[in-house]
Amino acid sequence: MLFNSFEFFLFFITFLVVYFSLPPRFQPFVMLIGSYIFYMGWRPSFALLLALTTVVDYTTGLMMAGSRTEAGRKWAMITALTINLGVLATVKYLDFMIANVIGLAGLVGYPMPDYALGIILPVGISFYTFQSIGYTLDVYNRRIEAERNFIAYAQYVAFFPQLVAGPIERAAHMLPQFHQTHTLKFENVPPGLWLIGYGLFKKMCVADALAPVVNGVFAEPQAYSGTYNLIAGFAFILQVYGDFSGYSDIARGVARIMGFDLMINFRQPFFATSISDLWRRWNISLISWFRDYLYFPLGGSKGGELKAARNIMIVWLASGLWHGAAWTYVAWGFYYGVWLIVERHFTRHIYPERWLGTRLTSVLGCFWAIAIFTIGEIIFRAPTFGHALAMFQSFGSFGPLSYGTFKVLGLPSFELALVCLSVLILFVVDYHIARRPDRLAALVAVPRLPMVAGVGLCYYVLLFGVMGRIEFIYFQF
Amino acid sequence: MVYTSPSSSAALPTIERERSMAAANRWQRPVAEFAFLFAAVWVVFYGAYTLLPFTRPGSVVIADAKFDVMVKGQMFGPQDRYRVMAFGHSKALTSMRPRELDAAMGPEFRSYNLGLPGEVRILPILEAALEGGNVPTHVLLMLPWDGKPNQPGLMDLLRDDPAIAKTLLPFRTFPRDATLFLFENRNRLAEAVHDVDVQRNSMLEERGWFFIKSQSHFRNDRLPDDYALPSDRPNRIEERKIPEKSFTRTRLEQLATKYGFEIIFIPLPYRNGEFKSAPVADNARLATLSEHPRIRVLGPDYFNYPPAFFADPHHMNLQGALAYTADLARLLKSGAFD
Repeated sequence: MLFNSFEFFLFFITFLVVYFSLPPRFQPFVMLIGSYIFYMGWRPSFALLLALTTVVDYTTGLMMAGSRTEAGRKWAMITALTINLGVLATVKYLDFMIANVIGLAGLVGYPMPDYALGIILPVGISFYTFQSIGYTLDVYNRRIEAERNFIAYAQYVAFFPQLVAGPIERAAHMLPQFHQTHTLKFENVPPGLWLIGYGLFKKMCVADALAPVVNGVFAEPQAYSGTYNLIAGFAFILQVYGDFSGYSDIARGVARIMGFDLMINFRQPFFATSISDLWRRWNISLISWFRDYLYFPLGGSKGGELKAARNIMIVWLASGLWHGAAWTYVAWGFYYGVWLIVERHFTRHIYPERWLGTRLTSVLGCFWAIAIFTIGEIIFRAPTFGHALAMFQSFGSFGPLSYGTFKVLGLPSFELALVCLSVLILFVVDYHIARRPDRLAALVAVPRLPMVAGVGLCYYVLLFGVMGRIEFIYFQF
Repeated sequence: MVYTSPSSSAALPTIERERSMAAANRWQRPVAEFAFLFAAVWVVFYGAYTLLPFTRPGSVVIADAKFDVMVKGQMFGPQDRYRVMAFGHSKALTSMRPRELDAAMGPEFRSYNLGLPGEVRILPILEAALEGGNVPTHVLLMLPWDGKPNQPGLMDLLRDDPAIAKTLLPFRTFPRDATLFLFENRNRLAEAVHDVDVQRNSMLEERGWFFIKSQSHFRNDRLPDDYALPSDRPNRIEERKIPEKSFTRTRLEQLATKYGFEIIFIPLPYRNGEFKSAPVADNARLATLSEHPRIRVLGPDYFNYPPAFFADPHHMNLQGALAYTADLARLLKSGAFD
């Protein structure tokens, strides 16, 4: 079930009516059943893996809590990780591994026929698996108590607003919320609706509107001049931002209306002043997950620059692999790992603020971050290394733009102007959220203005948003 | 003395009751204001959409007019031995000229171009025509049917977001159409208002053929001779892909049997360079699609024409339409009609 569909709208309204009209003691069951119904909209059998993850981590959490020895705790933790990562590896990486073994065998003179199991990746598995693993590691490290209420834990894993594409929540933040009684409070509704509306705007008016150009050029980059390839690169970073942050906003809005608080997953990344700053603002829940559960356990930045660099690289290679079973994702992780190490050394030894001033450093840093990010996301989006290479090669010859090409790519005159307007609105709003929240607060205080703007946003999305149930990009991960 | 409460609500402590009423009041006003404003905007848009029909693009105007003809009008007379309906999207709309086709095919031949921009569904249009008493002997298809195996069910309807949006907001395209209308006719608004009738009448006169003037941005409505796009694939053959299994196909066959018409796939026109020239049709493919005798595939997969025959990357100008129609007539004469 997609957030950007009337089907979800109907589901959510029905869910709210049932959830809040039944006595509070039924709320956990309604939430759990609703979440599974939501998830089974893709393929009912996927729910089995979700249930398996829930049972495994709940049980091993209790085993850790009940264990009298450290070895017992460790054994339970390793069991949980093995099962969770084993399932993830099987459904996500097995075909990739088989293809690589076949390729390697061919290289060393043992050609084998192509073979693939054709496993369908259950939607959201990387997200809920990591969330569940986070709980297990928190219990193991005694950051939280093991959850004894199975229904509460099952809700934590399957909570439908953030089940399929995050934010990857932390048990310490979420589990207590499943023990509370939730009431439909007026103060939650307007902010929740704003988040949903702005998320839908980002998804339907920015991301999906840019998709035809991105898809068209990335499919055959060699057919287009450097100008189009560059535009497609920029369009993709806007698309993926609109898509993913839009999803996160809608998830937060939906949760907020029900009285739940989800973490912020994006903090206006296009106003970042460095690559490391950008990655503190982009997919925050995943990056902080890797920081807390991989980078710090590896030693973080303790032990010298070399170890810090090694740990950064390990984290980013893992992050690349988390995104998908392809060498382009590994290269993407390596690319950012290198740049983050370089930037770390640069800022620590050169101190650009000293000779450029803070303001100019920020402005240049912003351009720098966007440029590096665009190149990185071309590697991320390109179907193969060949495609990415063709795009980079095309940057050597920039040609003129033609209206006909945009039209054929799916953006005729009005749609082209509209997508430019939508991107402009996105930047203006994000700029104010990032840099001038005082202005937004002043606008919100103007009587009736938020309501008029809300109706305007509704109509903008309904009239100009791309309808057609276009899936969110991060569902594939 | 024992106190008994007259009603359960009166039994509520006063302070709690006041809180509950205050909470309800908090909702009522903003919800009502929002609903009122939303409804007011809806009414304004709907009013503008209804009262300003001339802002609608030519494609919508002619689509409405075509439906009128099919449902209410009489498309064929008793003297017409061959009653032909051609279906397709905007390429079909701009390329097949019924008058010239009829002239080339003979006096007993009468055709209609039922191409509609952006419309890829054949069944609803054909069924509307049949219900209106307009029964063809031949249905020419310039686009394949979809590959959906089953009739759309309730869930399909629930998941058809564009259709739901169109129902809830019938004016959904109005802002786009009005903006384009104002921009394109900024120097001739008064004349543009009358263009609608001219376009409609012209399309009816031409029995469905329509030149999409609004999409032509080149001098004399013709592309330059060296026109090419990065998306062109001059080395690729764009083969017609006609799904074997399809609900539309099944239903079309039922209708063909019931009403006694034949279904013939005909080639589309493409620009030279848009795709590699289609190979000449082989006889095997000219044969019946699978075993059913009522469906045939005719000619090469497509015809190629120079860019000068096109007014924009996709759509033909008058010169192109005449050339395509002549080629189509030759193709139909070569075996489609006995």
